[in-house]
Amino acid sequence: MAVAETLPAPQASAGRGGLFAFGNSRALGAVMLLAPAVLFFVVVFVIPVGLMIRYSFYQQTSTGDLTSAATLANYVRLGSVDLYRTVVMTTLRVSLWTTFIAMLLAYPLALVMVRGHPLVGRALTVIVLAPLLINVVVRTYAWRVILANGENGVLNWTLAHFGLGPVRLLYTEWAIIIGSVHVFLPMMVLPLSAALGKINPAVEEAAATLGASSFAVFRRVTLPLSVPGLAVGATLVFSLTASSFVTPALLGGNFAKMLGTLVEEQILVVFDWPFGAAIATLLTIIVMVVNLASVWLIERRFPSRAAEAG
Amino acid sequence: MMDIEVTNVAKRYGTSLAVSDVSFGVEQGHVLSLLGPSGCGKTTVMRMIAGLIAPSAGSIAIKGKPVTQIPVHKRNVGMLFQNYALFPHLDVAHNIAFGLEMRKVPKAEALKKAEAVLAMVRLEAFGARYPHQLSGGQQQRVALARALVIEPSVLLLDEPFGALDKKLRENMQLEMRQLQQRLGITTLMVTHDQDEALTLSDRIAVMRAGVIEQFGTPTEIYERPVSRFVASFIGTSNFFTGRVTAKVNGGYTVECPDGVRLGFNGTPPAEASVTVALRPEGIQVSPDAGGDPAPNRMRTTVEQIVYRGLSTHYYLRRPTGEPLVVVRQNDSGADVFAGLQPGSAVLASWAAERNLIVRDDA
Ligand SMILES: Nc1ncnc2c1ncn2[C@@H]1O[C@H](COP(=O)(O)OP(=O)(O)OP(=O)(O)O)[C@@H](O)[C@H]1O
Ligand SMILES: [Mg+2]
Repeated sequence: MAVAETLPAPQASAGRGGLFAFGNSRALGAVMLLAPAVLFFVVVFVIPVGLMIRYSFYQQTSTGDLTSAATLANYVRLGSVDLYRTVVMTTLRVSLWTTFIAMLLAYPLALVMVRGHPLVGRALTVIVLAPLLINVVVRTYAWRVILANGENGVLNWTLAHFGLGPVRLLYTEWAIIIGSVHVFLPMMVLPLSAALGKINPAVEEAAATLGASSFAVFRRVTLPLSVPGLAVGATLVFSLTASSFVTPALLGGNFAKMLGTLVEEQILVVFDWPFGAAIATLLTIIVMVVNLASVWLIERRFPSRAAEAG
Repeated sequence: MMDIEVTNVAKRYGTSLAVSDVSFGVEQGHVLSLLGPSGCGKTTVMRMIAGLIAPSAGSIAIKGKPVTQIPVHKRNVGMLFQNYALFPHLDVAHNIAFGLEMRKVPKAEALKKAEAVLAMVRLEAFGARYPHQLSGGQQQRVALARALVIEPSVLLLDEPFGALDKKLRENMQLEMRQLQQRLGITTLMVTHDQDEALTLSDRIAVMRAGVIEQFGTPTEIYERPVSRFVASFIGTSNFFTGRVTAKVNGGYTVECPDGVRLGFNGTPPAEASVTVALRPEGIQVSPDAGGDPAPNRMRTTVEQIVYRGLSTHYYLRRPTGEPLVVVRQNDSGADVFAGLQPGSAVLASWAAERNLIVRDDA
């Protein structure tokens, strides 16, 4: 015993530090591994966002200069003018609906991709990813053609053939939701199918032998185990929809405005950079809150598993 | 009464038959092991009994009730999966209560019952842990508790001890056997470990390539293997092939091409040419005294001696170059074995009843 106590423990640092231990310290190694990404992140994200937030606390004088004293005036204006409040609500509503519909569409897709025949799975992956391969403007104009109001719209023309319609979709929130679901569906399907793929089929079989019907297996086992993937997908779809610009601009027009369109207007049309910055800051905060909330949700549902991974 | 009855069951995948025409029964309170090499169809048979896959032909009955058309969740079987398949998102208590909740037992009552079953597998203090916070042995006990709490008609175990280390495996085997006997629950176990099957079973079905090769008690399987396959898969055997020749006072002889003669008691078989299995532990060795050996004696040379703790394995070589394995328990005191070394010339001999005629299908 005495010998063992006086001997140093040689394997503690050498064994576990492994390949990526620089020098003798694992911490230093980790820092060096992270450095490039951190640097990139600081340059392209932290600094611009910092500048944006700073801008949002100033006002523009008639000569185009910034006022010298910081002020909350932009935020007060955002909160007090009805139009801006409506736009915030529209943004939230469109993003939530898009996320919800994407979830409903993605779940069966992801299930078939993971559990179905491998060839079917691969074909579905291509179909789901396809919208990402097409330029956003082209894709959105295609939706304009399909959704156009009156008998020129492909959808309304088809409906008319069946004696139905017409429906008014273009320049409504639903046009934005349809366009957004189309392009952001892969962001939901991919993390979800990754989560579903990690579920051990024997766990579902065990539930069945214990008396769970197919529906009970889904509700009590498959669904809870896929929550991490669902949360990642929801965060991605919500964030991307809330901050998108082309889709709401082309499909929502002036009738269904979102925060992204409003920012563009303030910066490029009105040239009120500080107010544009305030809107953009609000948008960033909304997206951040949703991100944190979904992380919190996962942590709460799977506390120990998250801790184990860390 | 038969608690599990499998009749002419087959399972076809595409053009290949995973299981062909299997029939057997498990008596109430018995443990039956399906034993066989990898890919012989053991798991497939078990999954058909559980209802996880449908047989292509044949019928299955549990406790006298035909279940072939009944879906898995209504069969009331307790199944232990190879890697336990615990619910990773539920703690131990909720894992165990799951089956009760599916049976509409009120949640509080289910959790209380789960606690009682946890005590039965000696894990009282672990109800609030999550599966990944348990060792392999503990996970297995939770899986067992989860399967038993629903008071299943039968218990199905798929390679239950495969993932445990040797020491823990032996403890768990003992524990499982005690629990099974105490509850008197009819059990079907799948294994490719012959020791496990011999130790734990009331009956063994040896499977090979989708069919049952032999069905019997562990003693029957070990002492009376019907085929060359069974004789070499369960334990080890030396094999001889020869022609049935002289009939000598109440017995007969099988003569091998290299001149070795095997003496038998009783009436000779119908075939002219037979395969004979000889268990290594039935053979004695003594110093080679020379002369022409009688039946069931053979002159050999020691090739290699391997000490295995409980026993020692002697690899002998026949004059023809073929090997002969002899196993001797190490507790049998000092004897002629002590002086043996590689190169020694020895005489191997055995009793006539050690010769087993088997079907040569290897
Ligand atoms: N879903 C399937 N599709 C096609 N073939 C299958 C399928 N499942 C099993 N098989 C085949 O059926 C045969 C029996 O498989 P099974 O899993 O029952 O073997 P096993 O005896 O349990 O083997 P092991 O000891 O390796 O678990 C194997 O040849 C296997 O390849
Ligand atoms: Mg198997």
